[in-house]
Amino acid sequence: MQEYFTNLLDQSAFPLWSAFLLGLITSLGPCTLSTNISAVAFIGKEAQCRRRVFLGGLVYTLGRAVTYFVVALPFYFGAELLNLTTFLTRYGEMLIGPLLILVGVVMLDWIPIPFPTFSKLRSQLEADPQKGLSSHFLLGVVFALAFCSYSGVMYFGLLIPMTIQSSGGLLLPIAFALGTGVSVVGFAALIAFAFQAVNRWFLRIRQSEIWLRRLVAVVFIAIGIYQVGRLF
Amino acid sequence: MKKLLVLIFLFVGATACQQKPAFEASRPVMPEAGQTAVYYFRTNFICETCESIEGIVQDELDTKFADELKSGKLVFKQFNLDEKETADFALQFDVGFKSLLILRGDTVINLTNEAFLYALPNPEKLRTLFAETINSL
Repeated sequence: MQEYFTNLLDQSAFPLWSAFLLGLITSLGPCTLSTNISAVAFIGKEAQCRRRVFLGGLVYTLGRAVTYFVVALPFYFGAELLNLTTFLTRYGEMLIGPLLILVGVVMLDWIPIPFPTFSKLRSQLEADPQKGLSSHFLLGVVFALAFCSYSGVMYFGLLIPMTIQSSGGLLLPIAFALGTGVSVVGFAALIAFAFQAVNRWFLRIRQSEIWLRRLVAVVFIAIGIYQVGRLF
Repeated sequence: MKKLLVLIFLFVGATACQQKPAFEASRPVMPEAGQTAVYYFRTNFICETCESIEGIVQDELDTKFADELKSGKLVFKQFNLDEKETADFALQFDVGFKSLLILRGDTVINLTNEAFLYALPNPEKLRTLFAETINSL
């Protein structure tokens, strides 16, 4: 699949389309796959409500778009930021493992949130479905910042020069973000549809939402441990 | 406490299973006059795409450029960007992260973008591009 999109990219003459394809190719890369799996699991955990899964995926993609847009800004206005590029690319992949473990452990309630204010805010977020989507946005922002070697080259090496030279300008990072989010939204929606099909047969499982959350947390921790293990 | 021990156990297990072979880095040095150099800047942590690029480059050099390697007309060096001396050396090429460069005299061709783009989905394209670039110098 990646080869197909790479060939499409080679033939593309439209910058916005090229940026979108680049995002799609990036999301299918091996080192971005682990964060994508985590994102799919996180978004898909609300599989009982397909609308919420779809909205969650869009909000997640919006988070990514904000990050890519903001990071592109200084480059677009002419700043030479080799140090920033180096920092984000070299240390992003080191941080994603511990971050995934931390999020997973918090989701399993292994580590209580010590501050009363944060606990109250979390309860409010979970009680109100509309407000609850802010976690998807934050996840998108943070995951987009977790540049690995592959995504770093795709973004800083290919997309940023395209952004600077093209008439599409800062729309290109947005198109790139859409490309990175498509596969995540697609797979999360598939899970939601599959879950609903299965759930009809298991209507008595009232605790399914809790177990989904725990499963997602385990996925986060497992991928986080794998990522950290790769550092050594 | 029990949960923390489980996490620590899993973490140690994961790191123990991921033993990496030693990476022999070259000292940063410019190529000699008349020499074509393939420079691969990497770090101690290497991803699947990075390993694929290294494999493709090494394979192409060993199969298509074996004579040039043997005679010293062509050299392949890997540098560790985690070492400060190498990081400073790399700055002259505007390189701060993993990169694949081909040098001859004053000519520096940066194949990093193409390497990462094609290494996994279309390695043949990368092989062709790599060989053509060396032959063009």
